[in-house]
Amino acid sequence: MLLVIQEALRNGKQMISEGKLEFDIAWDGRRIVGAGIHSSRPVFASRVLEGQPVAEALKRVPLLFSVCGRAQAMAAAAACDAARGLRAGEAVQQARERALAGECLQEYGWRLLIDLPMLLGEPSRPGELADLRRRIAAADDAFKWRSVATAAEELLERAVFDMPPEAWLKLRPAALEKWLAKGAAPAPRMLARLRRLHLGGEFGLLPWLEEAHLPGLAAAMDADAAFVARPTFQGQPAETGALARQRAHPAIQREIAQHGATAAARLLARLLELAQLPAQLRDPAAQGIRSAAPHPGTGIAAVETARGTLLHRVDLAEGRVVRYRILAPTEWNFHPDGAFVRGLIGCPAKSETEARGAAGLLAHALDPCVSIETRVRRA
Amino acid sequence: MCLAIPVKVVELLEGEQATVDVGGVRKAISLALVDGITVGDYVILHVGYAIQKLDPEEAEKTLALFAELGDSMGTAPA
Repeated sequence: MLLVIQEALRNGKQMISEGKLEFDIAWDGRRIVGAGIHSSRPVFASRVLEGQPVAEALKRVPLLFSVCGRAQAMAAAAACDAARGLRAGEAVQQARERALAGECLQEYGWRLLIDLPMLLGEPSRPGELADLRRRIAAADDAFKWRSVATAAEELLERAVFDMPPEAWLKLRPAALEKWLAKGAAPAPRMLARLRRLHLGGEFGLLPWLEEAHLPGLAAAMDADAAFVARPTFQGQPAETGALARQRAHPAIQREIAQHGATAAARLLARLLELAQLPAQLRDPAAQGIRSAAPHPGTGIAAVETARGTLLHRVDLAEGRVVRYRILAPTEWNFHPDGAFVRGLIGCPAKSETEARGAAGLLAHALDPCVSIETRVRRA
Repeated sequence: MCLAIPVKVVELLEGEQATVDVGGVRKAISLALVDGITVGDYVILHVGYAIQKLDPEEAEKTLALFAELGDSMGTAPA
């Protein structure tokens, strides 16, 4: 971390970088035999919240974080509420759930309209996403969120599902297979391609965190500062995200039984969540935000984002933040012994380019929130 | 947890592109996701796309926050 700052100081102006993930892939000519991750993500950025009055800290959170700004703000508010023994009213909770769903829609939209076409070697479609992002940014009441939902349904029908999202959700297994085999949109074509690649596997999914799980995680985040860089659940790395949340869905169970827990299962889980988001925007169910107060003055919140579970832990004293820790989904999935590394090892690759491509596809399935750089060396 | 670091637009290019200054390094980015950007504006950059335009006051506050963060990162966390 110090090096980053020193370099930034040499540059004179820019103080700090958003970091990136660097992958070192070992390839023996036939398959990937090793994978290492170096992360330069500033996981201790939350330290600028320490020493601040609660209201100021809550103002700083959305300034600090870009793509997941709303989820970060919701997590901060829920953690601080819990630490102060407060509980948000129903209207506030509904507004928070809508904001989370809106941000999730925006992120999944990016994966499907910008990233997927690019991975398929086709032009990305940022223009389609720009309109939706504008509507989401302006949505501040139930009426506007309903219009976001309607716009999202039109866009998803046209660009992702080739049918209304709620009709896609009701497809029977045989009809889903037909869609997958014949669909013209990037999503079904990518699903079909990912199934053939046997990339990924099941290495332990993070369970749905109930309030009862939170005090243990709060203690782990407190006891060891490095826990937020290399988190574990019950001593093991765990994968978070759409697959972990949708594991019990019949379509996911079928997919895993027939094709394994490949990158395709992760994309399918993402599509299942995406198709349900317009309904969640119209009539938000309480599902994305949980919190607990292990001790008076300490709060922890778990918030569901597009990339997985985001945790915020705060200690307050006399109205000020004493300690603030954030554990983001990227650190679960890109743990040095986590789903990315283990999913890549053993993957067949006939060339260096194929090995690099496999890393890119699995990274996309596990969705890091920063850019990636892949190096391949002959083992 | 992606930090929202403001970058300054120094030149508008064709095809919804612009050049920004990232800590003294010039970089071409896409403006396809934002509207009404002019030279001198601060934007939030994410994987090659400007995702948000900041008003000057917001940009100043955010830059000050990152300067503070830069100062605090020199020491190991407690």
